[in-house]
Amino acid sequence: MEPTPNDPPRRMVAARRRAAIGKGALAAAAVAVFAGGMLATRSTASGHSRHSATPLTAPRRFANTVRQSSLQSGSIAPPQSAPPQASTSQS
Amino acid sequence: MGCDVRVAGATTEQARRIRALFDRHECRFSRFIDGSELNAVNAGAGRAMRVSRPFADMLELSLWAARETGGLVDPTIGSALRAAGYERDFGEGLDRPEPPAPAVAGCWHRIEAHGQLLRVPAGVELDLNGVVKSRAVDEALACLDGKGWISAGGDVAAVGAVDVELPGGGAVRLESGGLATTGRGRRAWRRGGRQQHHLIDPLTGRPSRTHWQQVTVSGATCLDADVAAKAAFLLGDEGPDWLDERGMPGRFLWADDRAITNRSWRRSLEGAPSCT
Repeated sequence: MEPTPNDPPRRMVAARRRAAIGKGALAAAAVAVFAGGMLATRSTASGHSRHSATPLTAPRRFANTVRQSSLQSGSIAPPQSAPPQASTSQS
Repeated sequence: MGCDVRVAGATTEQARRIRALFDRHECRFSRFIDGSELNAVNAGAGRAMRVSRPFADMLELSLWAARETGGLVDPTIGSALRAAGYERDFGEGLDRPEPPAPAVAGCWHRIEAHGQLLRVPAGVELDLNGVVKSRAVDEALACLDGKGWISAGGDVAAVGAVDVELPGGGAVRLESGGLATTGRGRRAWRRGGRQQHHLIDPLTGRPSRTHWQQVTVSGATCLDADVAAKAAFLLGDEGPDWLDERGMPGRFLWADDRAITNRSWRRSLEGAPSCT
């Protein structure tokens, strides 16, 4: 069958098909880049939480250590004067 | 508080302020002054009441001491002291032929305190002397603006290093913090032919039967030292290790004045540079 004068040339059809495929590929790439960028931002930016929130309480082991050391030691050394300047009895 | 207070390094004005501080504490926390706030609180046991800010602060320290020592330094031993016969000042004599009244165990965890609102369980009497005197020494030390020291009974605290003669012999250099000695020798009396003393075991409600005669402890403050000394005394054989677990130096005297020291005490005295 002979092509009519109104039919586009075959190479024009092929060119339009290639252009459509290219546009689709560009759109898919744009969506992929956007989604990837958004995920990267969410996972690295400090304003986005990666895990569910937990209460700000000290670990039990740390709390126990602090509690145990609440009574603190003073500092003593061998006496350096005779007789001692101060004396104490008992209560 | 039934003890002499000695002060070194204070001006006349500072000495006056320190005397006033001890007098205020005496008037507020004594069991032997009729109008004291402590007696008013004990008389109101069983119902909620509002206490003064200084009283609430001291009670909070007492409850802290109880928590830190697993209940050994208990502010609710007032009834036990009365039962043992410590019902008036020592100057009036406490020896009696009759036996002590039934024991009353401590129950500090039943106290309800919220700021200045307080409810002491019915039948419970507070005695805050486990912390009042040593706290007063710490507060008095803040009145000094230079080197000096303050001693009240078995409690000593100093600004700057000072050599302190210990009861039972020996001396030690207090470089910082406080030093407290507690024991059964000074506040002791007899009931029914048996010796009683003021260091009550809260579990039994009776004077402790530990074999220590006295215990001396070094603490970051006089309060720390005094609370730890009382706990170590009441713990008996476990006292030296209990102090070591907290890095606190302690010296223990037996009834015959033989002394033993814990590892922290020995390390403090052996690790220091020698005197020249």
